[in-house]
Amino acid sequence: MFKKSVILVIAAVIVVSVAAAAFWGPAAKQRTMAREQNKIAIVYIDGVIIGGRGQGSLLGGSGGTDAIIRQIHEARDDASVKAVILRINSPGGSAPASQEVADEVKKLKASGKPVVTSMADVAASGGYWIAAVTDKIYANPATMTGSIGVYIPYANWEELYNKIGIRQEKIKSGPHKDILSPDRQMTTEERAIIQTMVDDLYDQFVTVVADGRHMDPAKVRQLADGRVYTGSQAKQVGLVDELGTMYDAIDGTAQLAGIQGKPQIKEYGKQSPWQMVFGSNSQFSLENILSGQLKNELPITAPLALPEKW
Amino acid sequence: MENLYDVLFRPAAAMRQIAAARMIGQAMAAFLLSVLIPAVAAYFAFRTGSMAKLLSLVLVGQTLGSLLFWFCGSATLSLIAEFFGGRGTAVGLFAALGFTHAPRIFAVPFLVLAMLLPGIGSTVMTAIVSLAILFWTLTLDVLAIKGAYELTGAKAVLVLMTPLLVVGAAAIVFLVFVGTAFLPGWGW
Repeated sequence: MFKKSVILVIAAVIVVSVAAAAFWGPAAKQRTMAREQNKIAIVYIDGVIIGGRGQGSLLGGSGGTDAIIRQIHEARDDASVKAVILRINSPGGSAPASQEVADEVKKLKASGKPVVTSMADVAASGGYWIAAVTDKIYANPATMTGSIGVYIPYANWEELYNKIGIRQEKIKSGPHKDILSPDRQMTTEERAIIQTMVDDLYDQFVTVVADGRHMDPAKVRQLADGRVYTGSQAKQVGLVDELGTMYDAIDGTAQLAGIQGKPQIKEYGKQSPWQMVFGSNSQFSLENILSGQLKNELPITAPLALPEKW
Repeated sequence: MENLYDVLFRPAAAMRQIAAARMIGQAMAAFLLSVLIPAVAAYFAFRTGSMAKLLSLVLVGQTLGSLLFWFCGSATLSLIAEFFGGRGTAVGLFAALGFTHAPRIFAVPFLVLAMLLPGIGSTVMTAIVSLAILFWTLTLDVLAIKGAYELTGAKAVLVLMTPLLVVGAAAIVFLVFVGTAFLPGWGW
């Protein structure tokens, strides 16, 4: 009798709970959904900016701007996301890759969602190219930014080849097919060709900064001699809007987007521990440790117009 | 009803009795109640417009999946228990395992409470309740194996964990194999 009574009491509690779920459940769900509508998406842009899918690894490609652009599209298509923060920690990289990301950011802005940059340690060169097209830029006072400029590196290993007895020959279809080849001196004509390319890229970069920051191109050119600025110097010259941390950027973005109260954050692009170990674009990857720096690694500190290998 | 009370409050003895008497009918009733009540509560709580059809599909799938898992799980655990020297019947174990889902019913009132809590409180409460129900169910599984096959507690735990260990070992072997297959050849 006692056992049956206990079971009947439990059954009564369950029935009341199910009824409560039926009446209060949808309302509670609506409240949660209303809270979850006011999201700010954070897209992380870390490391050297490389175009395409980046480098292959056991878990597939990683590190290329294709992934960043996909995340930007996801944020654009997600109705619950009201604004986007680009958290940039990059010394720059490929010019076309930076340009692609910047163009996608402009489309995101055109969809009506504010886009704000929060600079981390470094947001220079290609990183600044992307930041310049956003609505507002936050940087820490000690952030390294600027480096508005372009270079195309060239190394001449002719003397080294002579020393070790290597002689390279090329049968070319045209006189400039092996331009920038490291096994010979660059000619004056080739230097002029490369200079026009650099000048063209530089003009594009200046235009992006002038349009994005609403500055006179002449003023941009004065600032864009390639030098790096600290965050506080950049604010003084108008390259950055506010000094502050990522959380200041979140608060500012919430104000821009008209979000009342504390916004929900949705993060894209953070690496899992699994990716840190097995991703080939990571300093911790086994491939990098075991095979060393045998590739033709160019110092990438400014937008390049070169493929990494030729 | 008395069996249900015993399973909840005197589980060790109850599982022995249920396995010995092979109460298949009661086990089926207990199983269906344990699966359907939380499913119905979840349906009422989370249905919102177009989600209703999808949710129904998910809940039906979950019920059928649980049934399949109960059936196949009983057979697998029965075989493993016999390998470990247990003496009993698969039907007895099947009946006992039918009652081990009973703690799921207790999730309903707590989840309703969790719905009414704001923000992180809701998430924390849901997590705590889910974990508690999981541990309770696993304990009942161990007692069911122990009662049905007259094994010690440690052996019963081993019987329950063996399928997981086998899958885990196979996964490690697979990962090692795949990893070595993709290592680049070294050259100097």
